[in-house]
Amino acid sequence: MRNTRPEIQELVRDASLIFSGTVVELGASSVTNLAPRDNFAVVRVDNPLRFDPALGDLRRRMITVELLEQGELQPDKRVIFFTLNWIQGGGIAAREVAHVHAQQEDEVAAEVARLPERHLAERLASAILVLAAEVREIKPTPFDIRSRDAPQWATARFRNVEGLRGEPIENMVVLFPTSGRPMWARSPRLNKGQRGIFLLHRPPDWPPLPDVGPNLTSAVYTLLDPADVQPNSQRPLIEKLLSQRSIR
Amino acid sequence: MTVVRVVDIVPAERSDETDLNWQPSIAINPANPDEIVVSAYKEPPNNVGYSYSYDRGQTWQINFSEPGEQKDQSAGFGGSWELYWTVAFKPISGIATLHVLRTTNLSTAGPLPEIDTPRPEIDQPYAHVLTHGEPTPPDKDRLYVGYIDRSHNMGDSAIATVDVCLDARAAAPSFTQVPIEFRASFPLDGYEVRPAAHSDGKIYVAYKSWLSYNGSTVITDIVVVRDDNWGANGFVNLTDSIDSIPGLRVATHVHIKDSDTQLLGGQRLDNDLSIAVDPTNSATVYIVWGDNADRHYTLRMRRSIDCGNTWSGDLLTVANANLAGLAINSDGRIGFIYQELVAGLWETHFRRTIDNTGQNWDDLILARTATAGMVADYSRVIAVGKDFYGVFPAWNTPNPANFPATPPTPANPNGARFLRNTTKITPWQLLGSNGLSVAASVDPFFYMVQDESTPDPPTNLMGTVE
Repeated sequence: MRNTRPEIQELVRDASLIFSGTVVELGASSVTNLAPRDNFAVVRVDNPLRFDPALGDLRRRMITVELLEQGELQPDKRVIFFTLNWIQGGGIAAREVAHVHAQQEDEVAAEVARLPERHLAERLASAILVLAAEVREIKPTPFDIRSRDAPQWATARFRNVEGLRGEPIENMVVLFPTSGRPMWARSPRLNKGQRGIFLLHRPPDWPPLPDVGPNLTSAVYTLLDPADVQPNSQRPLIEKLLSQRSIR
Repeated sequence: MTVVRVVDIVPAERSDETDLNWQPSIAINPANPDEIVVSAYKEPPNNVGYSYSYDRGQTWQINFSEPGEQKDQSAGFGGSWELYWTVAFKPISGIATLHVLRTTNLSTAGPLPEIDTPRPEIDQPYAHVLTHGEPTPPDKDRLYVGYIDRSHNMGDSAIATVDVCLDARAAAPSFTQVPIEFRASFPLDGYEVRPAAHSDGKIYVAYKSWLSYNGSTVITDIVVVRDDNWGANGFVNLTDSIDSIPGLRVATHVHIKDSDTQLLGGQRLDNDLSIAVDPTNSATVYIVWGDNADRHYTLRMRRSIDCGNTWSGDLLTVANANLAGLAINSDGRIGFIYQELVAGLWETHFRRTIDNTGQNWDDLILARTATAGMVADYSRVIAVGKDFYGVFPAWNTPNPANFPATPPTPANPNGARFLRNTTKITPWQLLGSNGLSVAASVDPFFYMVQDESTPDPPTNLMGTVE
């Protein structure tokens, strides 16, 4: 069993289905069209900790877990499973990544609850500039005909700018997607007069950028991730995360 | 009597789902039509999976065998029982990378073996499989994967391309990447690259060679290439009589309104190209596309009876319609799926020719559903023997009035079969795992239209049409 904190952080990040559960039967299957195997365990869910919301309330439901190792678990044993989604329909099956002692449930639940904060910390760590500002102006860029999946960038300019990390550049150009395509549906949208904290990143290799005129490309930044725009109420947390020497 | 089945394939375990499940495609095991796979886009993350059925579409499960995020996918079955699954994965950087995976066990735990070289910077993979009977067993699965390849000119153009594999079930299959655009398109080729194979070795591929795009209107040629040796000739066997270049232009300078602000009932236009070859005669080919030549966006069906060298005028047109798909059954009968906007609702029609003129069709309305929001890009139909199988996306309110071809029965009060939880009387609602109402959304609907003469119809039939 794994139980160190960094490992739990890693497991929480990587596992798509995490739950505390009690082993009901070994070498069995609760899923239609999935024949029993020696490395299967049918597990009753006691407390779902991380799961796809489409699955609804998982409590007391049976999940067939493909175990990493046979022989480690016995019927009635209660542990916390870190698993990957596998089969949904005619029952639920999942593939084990790891399991830990049931006594660590509070710790695992706390790590799950910290996922949004960890994601914010990662975006802060990769940001070139972090600014508290007000959106002064929004302008569309020429329609990009190169792809249906083009972000259809708009540019934003700011005023009342305060640098929380890095110094704002006078002629910087900030780009954000306006396309309604699913690929960009979760990206932030800006409005004139909007105030907040903006996590500005270097443009990725793709999608291609629009012609931003005489501005230096080094002064071009993007807002792509939902976490890249934060309300001012998050400032204490952001300042705390920025002050940490190492953001995990 | 024609037997019709319509099934919302979201399983009961996902009754709380409100995802946009669009861009569906389908694969049928030709050696055992009980085995069916449907792929569809789901909301990320962890959206790489396919739905599968072992009972001819009555019940469905999802196998999330691969980690990661997909942007588009389709699958094809060989007569060998191999499933070939083409997935456009979201890479760390870039648009999408094509991976071709295979399995004979639909419920297998991944990761599945990969059989092609990953192809970066692609869009809209479309798998087509034909199993070729060899004089000495085993037979060979011919696999054709159409897509547009953006790995040229820094992604500023995209070339219609087909990956050709003449023995996809081999231990180490060999794939050849074949660009099939022989002219200069601008700024890219259209998104649909649709192969259709015949057992005599003729492979047709339809694609759109864009001439211009101004952000709202595409002007394009509708092009068909042909290869007479399973794809080994580079698709140069059908040339245009005007410019003597491979790729016959079935129609030129076709205008199509194409932007996210010019939608038809919430659906984007310009993804309706489909082609099918008659399994009883490789010279007979049908094609359908949509355009704005008339007042409304209109689907047009045309036919060639001389291997694509000459084409008919419009055999059938449908205004205000899209999501076109074509297949031809073992009798040479055409099956045609599309959605038509009628009085503010999407009607999903499935039509079949009733003679060999290509101009007379029957008509089943499989669904009549809402138009709210984005619904779809494309759908697909496949023929196995005399029967047709397909998938379409639609809003999933479980009201039996929405499914005219499958009237409600005491055992199935929703008309269409729903695996996810629903009410069985009015008010017609989806129900979550807690028994409370769940918001309607877009689901993939499987359908089967079984020929009158097919023996031993499957059990639990959904509806019949005289």
